Amino acid sequence: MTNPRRVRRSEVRRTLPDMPQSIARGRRLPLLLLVLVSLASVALFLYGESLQRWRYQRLPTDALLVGARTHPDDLLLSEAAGERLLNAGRPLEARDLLIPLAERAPQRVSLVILAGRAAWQAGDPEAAGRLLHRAVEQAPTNPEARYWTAEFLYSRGYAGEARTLLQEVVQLSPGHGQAWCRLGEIELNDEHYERALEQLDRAEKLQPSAESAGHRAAAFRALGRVPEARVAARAAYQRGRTADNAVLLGQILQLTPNAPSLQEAQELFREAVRLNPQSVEGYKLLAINQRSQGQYQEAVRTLRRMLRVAPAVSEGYLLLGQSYQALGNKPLADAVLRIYRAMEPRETRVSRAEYQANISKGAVLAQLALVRTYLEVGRQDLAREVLGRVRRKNPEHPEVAELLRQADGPPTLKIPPLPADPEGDAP
Amino acid sequence: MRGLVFCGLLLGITAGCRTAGPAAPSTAPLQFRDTAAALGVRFQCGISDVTPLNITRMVTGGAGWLDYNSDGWPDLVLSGLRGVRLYHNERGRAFRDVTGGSGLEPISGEPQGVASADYDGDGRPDLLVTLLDGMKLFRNAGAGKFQDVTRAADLTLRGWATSAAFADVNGDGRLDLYVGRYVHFAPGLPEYQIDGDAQLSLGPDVYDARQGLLYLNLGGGRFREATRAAGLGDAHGKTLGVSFTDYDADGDQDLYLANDQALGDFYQNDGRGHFRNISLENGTAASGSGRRQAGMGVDWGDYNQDGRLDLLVTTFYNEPKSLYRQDAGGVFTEVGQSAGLTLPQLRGTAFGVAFADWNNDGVEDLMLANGHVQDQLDRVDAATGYRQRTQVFLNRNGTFQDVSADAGPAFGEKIVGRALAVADYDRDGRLDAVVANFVGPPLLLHNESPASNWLGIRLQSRSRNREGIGALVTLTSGRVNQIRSVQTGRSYLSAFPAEAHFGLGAETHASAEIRWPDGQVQQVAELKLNTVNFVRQQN
Repeated sequence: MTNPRRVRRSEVRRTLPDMPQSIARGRRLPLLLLVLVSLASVALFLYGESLQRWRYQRLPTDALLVGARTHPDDLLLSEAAGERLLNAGRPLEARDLLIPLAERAPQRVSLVILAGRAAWQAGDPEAAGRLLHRAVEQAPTNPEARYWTAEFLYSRGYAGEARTLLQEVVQLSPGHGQAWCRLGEIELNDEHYERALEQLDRAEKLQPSAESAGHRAAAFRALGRVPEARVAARAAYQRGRTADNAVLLGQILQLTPNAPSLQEAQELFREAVRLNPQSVEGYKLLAINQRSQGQYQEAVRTLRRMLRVAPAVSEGYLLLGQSYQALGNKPLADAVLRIYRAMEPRETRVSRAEYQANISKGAVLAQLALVRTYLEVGRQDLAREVLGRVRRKNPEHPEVAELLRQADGPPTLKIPPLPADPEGDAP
Repeated sequence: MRGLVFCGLLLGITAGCRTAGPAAPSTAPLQFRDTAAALGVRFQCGISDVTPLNITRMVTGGAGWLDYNSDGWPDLVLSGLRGVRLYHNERGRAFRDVTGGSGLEPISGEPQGVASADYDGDGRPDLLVTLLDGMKLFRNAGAGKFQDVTRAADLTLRGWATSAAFADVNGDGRLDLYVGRYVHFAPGLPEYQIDGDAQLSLGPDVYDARQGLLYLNLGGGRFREATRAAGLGDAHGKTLGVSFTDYDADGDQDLYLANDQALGDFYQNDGRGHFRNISLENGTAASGSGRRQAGMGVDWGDYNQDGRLDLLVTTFYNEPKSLYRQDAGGVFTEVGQSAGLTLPQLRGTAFGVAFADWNNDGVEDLMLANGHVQDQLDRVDAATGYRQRTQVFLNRNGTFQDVSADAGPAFGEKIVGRALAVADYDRDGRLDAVVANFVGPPLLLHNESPASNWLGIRLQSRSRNREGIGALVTLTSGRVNQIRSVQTGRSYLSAFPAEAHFGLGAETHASAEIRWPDGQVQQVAELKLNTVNFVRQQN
């Protein structure tokens, strides 16, 4: 039985053409206008900033920057310009633009956060810390303020403090995929693999990224769950075709000891050094893979390329010398191993300093002692690496600046040039 | 007849007593049962009631098999902080502690490990015990008595002695001795670091290295220290594993030293007892990535059946175990990755190690004794843990598969494993193993894997090196060749019987070529299956 009060939509449509058009339009126009105006008002009220932001996003970076400088009161425009500059890898300009505005408008938390990020990326940790701290104080329930403060602290080696903040972020905003991802990474670094996986799984569900997949792969690998590690590493590499992701996938594939896996791993290591010709790890893994498959001539080429990129990597000479030995080229093997022997007498002193630095869990004195040892043996490159870590945590330490000055430049360890080998240097 | 083979005659044992027993009702490829408690072996090589332990008490725990009374049944010796225990093998049915009155008790100086060989050629295996400061040589005087002849033998070594091995390095027919030494530790030196709630011992990097020493056997029960003269003075020290073998089959004994946090040393013998360290050239100095590693134990075996002996070095927690494949020209390539030894599950702290054909299928498998060194580790890293599981691997076409989970409950037990020594203690044709445990009784792993054909070879040489230690035995059965190096000094702080054991699978014929330590090559046309063959060197 049909309900007489129900009128089908098709029937309505059918009736409209029967009406004179002018009458129909005349009746509907004011109503439509009213609705449109009302909707526009509501949208502007609710989404004005977003619409404006969307409009700004369509402008080129430099136009944005000029606009922001011309209209310093348009904080939205300045934020858009600052964000664009940060994404474009121009943190110094972002910092110069944003910090004065943030000082002027400390109540605008999004601007203060952005200014803090700009200061951090511009290498001004003091300003970054101050601004991000202010943002957290200003807006205790703002997850972004805590998130970026956590990121800043984590980058400076304060993993524990970062973890606490990130835990607060995910309480405030359980859908914050990036926070889950970083939390997982911190647990991974602390070798809490199961816990890391829980957090990385959430990150993966909320916001799948190459980073979260890569961390999951590393956690699965550490737990010996090789098939899952393989799947996750493939996802990471598909999402981000970087040298690091290629290396990770290659390493995991190699855990399955069969010829196809080793071959695919080799291709990935080759890809890693193509993507990043400075990837020492990529070259080394490629050479080890080639050696294990008896491809000593290929390993020679790879190792020679690596040593041109990083001439102070002593184990490169050892592997190269052994590869020449396997090829029966004793003169070249002897020449290369002579270089290795010249680099190794430092071993005892350096290893002791490295051990002390390692067991001191980041204590500055032990780290600086290691830096001095590296400098004594002419390894400015290694000294710089350690100093970088020390400086992140202790930027004002009185010795750091002087040691940094001493560590400037290439290693003074006298490394003889590689003996000529046209075949080994062939492309 | 090209070789003189006589089975069971020399020691009065009958072939019947060596017939393989019935297989255990299991479908797992490998099956072991811990029989230590049932057979009366309870010696704990370390301590578990003192904490924290400093470096001097972290790596102790020896184990060895020697048939001290020549009755054909391998007897068991264990060593550690609580002294030395000698157990008489009651025909595989029990082990009786016969230490009292044997002359092996008491031993002062914190025993570490053991080594065994008939150094004086009197037909009885003697015993060396390494100590935290020095060592003791016990001459087997027969009738279950051992005499401390350390002083008379001029074995004046001081310092922390670890693994030791006997071999005739200069071809004079007498067994010489190499003793590894670890680090210099003295009261007053720093001992611990604080890590959260745990007090952890400092590692070897903090202490000065000590180099091992070579003692030449002069005959008449005396030795002379000849380390530098023999070219062994450039060893890196911090040695934990020591093993001789004739890796290049040139008729002399070469030496590998596994060093903790230092490059490994591979000494090639020039045939006259002079050595050259070739570890850098031949690829055995470092890990596969060219880095120093914490070398612990060492063993030789032909895992890929190419007729060349390969080398396995056990390492610390989180380091891959290094398997060095010997390629043509005596060059080694680290292939742990392609052999399946880099899986994260294999990253325990491994000490003892043995290649052995557990299932007698004709390919050498593997076992690792694991246990961390930090007794308070559980407070800061429970996942890694102080106690760790022993692992057994099946060799499948040159790839090792960890089958521990299905090989019996003993492999689920977490212990602090140190020495690992292999022998067929009940003479059922399947190789058994003992694993020294720092925190409890050892594992006595009775092999109950499905039975297959097998044979053993014991040598009797013309020289004072009566057991032919250092000989290479190549067995041919069907189309397969297998090679063994007859050595008693293998693994870590361990002593093995001077016997070559071969699995034959379903093969029913086997012949052998023996390369004696003096270089003589002897063919043995037909060997008896499922028994131990005694082969005397031809004139």
